[in-house]
Amino acid sequence: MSVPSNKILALEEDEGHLESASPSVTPPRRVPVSLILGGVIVGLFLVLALIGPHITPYPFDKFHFGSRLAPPSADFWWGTDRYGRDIFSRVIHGARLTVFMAGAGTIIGVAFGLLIGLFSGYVGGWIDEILMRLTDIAMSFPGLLLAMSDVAAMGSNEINAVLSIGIVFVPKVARVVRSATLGLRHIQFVEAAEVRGESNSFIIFREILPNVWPPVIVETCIRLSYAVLLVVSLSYLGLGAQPPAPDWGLMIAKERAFLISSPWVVMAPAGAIVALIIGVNLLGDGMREWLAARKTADE
Amino acid sequence: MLSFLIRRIGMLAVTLLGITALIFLIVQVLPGDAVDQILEAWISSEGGAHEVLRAKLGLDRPLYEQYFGWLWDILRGDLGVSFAMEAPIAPILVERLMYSLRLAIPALILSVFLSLILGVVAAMRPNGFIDNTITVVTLTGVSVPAFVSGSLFILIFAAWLQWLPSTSSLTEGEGFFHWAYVLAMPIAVLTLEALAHITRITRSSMIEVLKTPYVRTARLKGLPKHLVVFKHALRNAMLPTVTVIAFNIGWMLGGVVLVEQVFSYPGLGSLVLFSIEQRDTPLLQASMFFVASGYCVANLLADICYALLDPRIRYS
Repeated sequence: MSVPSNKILALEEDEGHLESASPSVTPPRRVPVSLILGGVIVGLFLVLALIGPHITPYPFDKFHFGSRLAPPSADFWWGTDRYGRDIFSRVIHGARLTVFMAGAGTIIGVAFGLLIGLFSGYVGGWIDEILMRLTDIAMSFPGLLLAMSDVAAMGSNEINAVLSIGIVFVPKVARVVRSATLGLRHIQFVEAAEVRGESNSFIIFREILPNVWPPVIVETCIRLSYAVLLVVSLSYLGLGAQPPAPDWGLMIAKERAFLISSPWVVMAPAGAIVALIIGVNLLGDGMREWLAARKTADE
Repeated sequence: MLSFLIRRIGMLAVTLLGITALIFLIVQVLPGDAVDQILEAWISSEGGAHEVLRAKLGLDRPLYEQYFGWLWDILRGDLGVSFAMEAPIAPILVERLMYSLRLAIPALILSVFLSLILGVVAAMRPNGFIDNTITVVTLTGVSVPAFVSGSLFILIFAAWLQWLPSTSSLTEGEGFFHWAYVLAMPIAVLTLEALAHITRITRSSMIEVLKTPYVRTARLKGLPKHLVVFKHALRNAMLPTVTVIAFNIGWMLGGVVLVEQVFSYPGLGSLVLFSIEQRDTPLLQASMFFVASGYCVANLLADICYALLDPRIRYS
């Protein structure tokens, strides 16, 4: 599931190429529409994650026994679930859980993947060989399956779901960073630093790191989109947040018996999931396009 | 080609060995073992029953002994006995695999066939109306988790239109049309997921290839367009597509767990979930190994296809 998206994001590049190929002296550094749109959507979810719990009409775990499985109305905008809990409040509360879990998993994966990739690519030799064989092995498992068994090993809760997402991401990020590092390995400023007798850590962090940021940023966006998918999938399977947490995946799993009689119990969290992932995908596409355009403009 | 094959298969063996070690490691970290799970319900840990059962199941041996014992068993084709089901694992795995393949193979064939067509059509006129429509649809496709699209399908086709059943339980001996009827929705969901990925890759690599001089040459020497597109361009554009297809095979083998869950379908994915819930370590180890090696073999096949499509790879 991982490799495709790298290439998928090449999609929207065509426009960018055309622009930079135009004969204008200063190529216009227009920010891509997808970046703005994605940024707005993701920003909206971030705001919800931060202030959501303060603006909902009801607490996420308040039972209204008088109106169970009530359809959307003025009192309950998106209806209620089987315990009479307000779905709108639950979905808004859930934003914090999903956004923070996906974000934290991505940060862990990218941070460790970055370190391993830089180290492996710069040091090279048999250390690189061993590390890369290890990533091969870790990547022989479909991502969701590896995350599932990691969670199984550590116990089903939010923290372990986050950790397992990080673990799934480390080898993939390490591969990307390593290949970017290899490309810089024999560039003059790196060799100059070596001749000056700089330490390995200086070269890795001060000479190489600043130059691998663009692919790392793009990779982070891709990872973030998968992190959201993994978070909701794990909790759908009962391997993430536990009841009564207002987690979107969990809500869909727990209420699926009422899917046909009261569709809103599933459709509201499903809509939130799809909106967030589309937002993150747009952000990633736009970021890639924007960085590519900047690169051609700089050259 | 032969040396390429030997090298590639040697790598596969090393990877498989690493996979067994990783699986064993993960399963060992599991808090509490199968003995706790089996006895938990009715026997307290004081009586010594745990130790007896542990010794019987061989769980009191040193870790390395357990690991090499397991490895040796795998090499002999013995996958052990499931605690929870109290039955040999190999037949269970094969049965569940057959169930999963009934979903995965039609979905794979459909998605490859459809997405090659869609990708080529989209690449014919980049940024045209058809291309934009396909892009929006596939972008939505990659953004919708299988359990969400599955729920939506159930709502539309089972509840509102009442065309198809909402669960996919199979009974043996039924004819092909009954299967097609029962499995239509899960297959459609799986196809949609894979379709999005493969279409987007085919489209972007097709656009690249159509810009190359050799395609222009082929057109200029008067070859009909369909011949150029399908014979000259598609063959090269297929290269990245083959990799994506291989990834989708792996994804279908493992990630199919979501689809199986939505439609209450007894495949390999739900078996993994079952073994996790039951803390059935032998079953978990075996099914993880099964799925991961399937993934590796799919990648091997993709590499071989790659080498057949592009001779340069064989010699690098």
